[in-house]
Amino acid sequence: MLKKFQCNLTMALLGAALLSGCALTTANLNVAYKPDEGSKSPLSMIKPAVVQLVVEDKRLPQEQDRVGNKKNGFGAAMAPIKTNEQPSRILYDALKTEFTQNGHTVIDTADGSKPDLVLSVDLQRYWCDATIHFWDVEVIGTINSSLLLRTPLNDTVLLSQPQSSTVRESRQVVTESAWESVLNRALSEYVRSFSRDPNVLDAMKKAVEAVHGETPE
Amino acid sequence: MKVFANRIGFSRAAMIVSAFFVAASCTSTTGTHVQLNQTAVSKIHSVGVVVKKEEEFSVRLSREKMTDAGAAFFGLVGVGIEAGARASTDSRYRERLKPALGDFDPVAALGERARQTLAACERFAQVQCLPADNPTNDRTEAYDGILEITLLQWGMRPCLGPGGAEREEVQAALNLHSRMILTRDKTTIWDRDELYLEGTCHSIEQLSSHGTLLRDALMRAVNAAAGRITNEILFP
Repeated sequence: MLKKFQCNLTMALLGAALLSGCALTTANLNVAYKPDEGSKSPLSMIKPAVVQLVVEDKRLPQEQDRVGNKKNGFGAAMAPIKTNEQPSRILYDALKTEFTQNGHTVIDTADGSKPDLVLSVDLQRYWCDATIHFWDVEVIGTINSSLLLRTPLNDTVLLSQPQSSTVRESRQVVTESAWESVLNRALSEYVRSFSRDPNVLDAMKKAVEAVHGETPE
Repeated sequence: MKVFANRIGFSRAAMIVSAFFVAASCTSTTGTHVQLNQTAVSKIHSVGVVVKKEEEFSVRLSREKMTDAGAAFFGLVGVGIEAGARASTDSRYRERLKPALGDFDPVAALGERARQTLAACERFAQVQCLPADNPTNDRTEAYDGILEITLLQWGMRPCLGPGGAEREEVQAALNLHSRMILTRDKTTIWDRDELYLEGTCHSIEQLSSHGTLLRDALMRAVNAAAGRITNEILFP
């Protein structure tokens, strides 16, 4: 009798432990762009510009309340993975930091300021996922967006292109730090590739030239 | 081995399994592994671009959804069965897409695009594509540096996000390893792994039946990946 009770208790405790596992609790990640202190990107080679930055959340409705799903071993979605800030805000802050660090000014046009150029970013995907392989778990973080850069002078579109970044990590165990790591690295890669993209740099130079009527440095 | 295993208190089976784990390579973590040395790159005036591929066009839709189910019920044998079944499904997808793929050559496209973008910046006096079949031949020695790009995997991978996974949509994907080698002493001065996901999602049905949809997606991925690689070299 005692043995049966002990067995049932063990089973119950085991079941409770499994069900209360971290796969059932929402993950709240701290995702933010952390630039290297004092480092400059090719954006700094462009004459200081006043930039109006607009980031809109154009993700699919079913993706808008999360940036990923925790999955069980059978691939079924369990708890959502969320970020402490809205992804569109995270992207806005990251790009603003990069512009500011490289000598440009990002403004809010609500106060009547006039920009030299307008950068509109449509955020289409901001997601992390994991795939089980034989020896490891592949954790992926990705950002997909489209960019539109125009000069407000004559409302000419100088650049329209997709901008994306994907980061992959090989892990043995996937904890919240793994999700946070891939999303932070994907954000850094996004900003890094944006600020080194010759198309972006050319378009910005043209916008500055158009406004100031001179050849940029 | 048995003596060694006994001496350290391991069974031979445990030793073999451990050795397997050590020898087996895991998925590479993307990013720059060797940062470009500006001093070294300033000595490069001519660049040879060599592009290689390790495998043919592939679809990794079912394989990217591996679960623990096989392992839970049948152990290692179960994992093997699940992996085999999923690989077979992906092979069928690949065969469906092959007619739409036609003679698309990612090696030539990637090499030419990388050459164009490196030449356009006017930082190097000479940039040429070199054949991948014999990268250590005399022609290679004529260049100060070799940009070697290896396509580890190219084709289609699942779209991320709940929408993409449920609808079984795929996107163009390139899994690349790139490095810059100084020909003088064969040292690697830059090394980077990249997983490029193009981002536009389509079903296998759409890709197989709509003209150039597949080739266009792959070409966009190739162009963007080549641009990303060369930008990393030009602006380290």
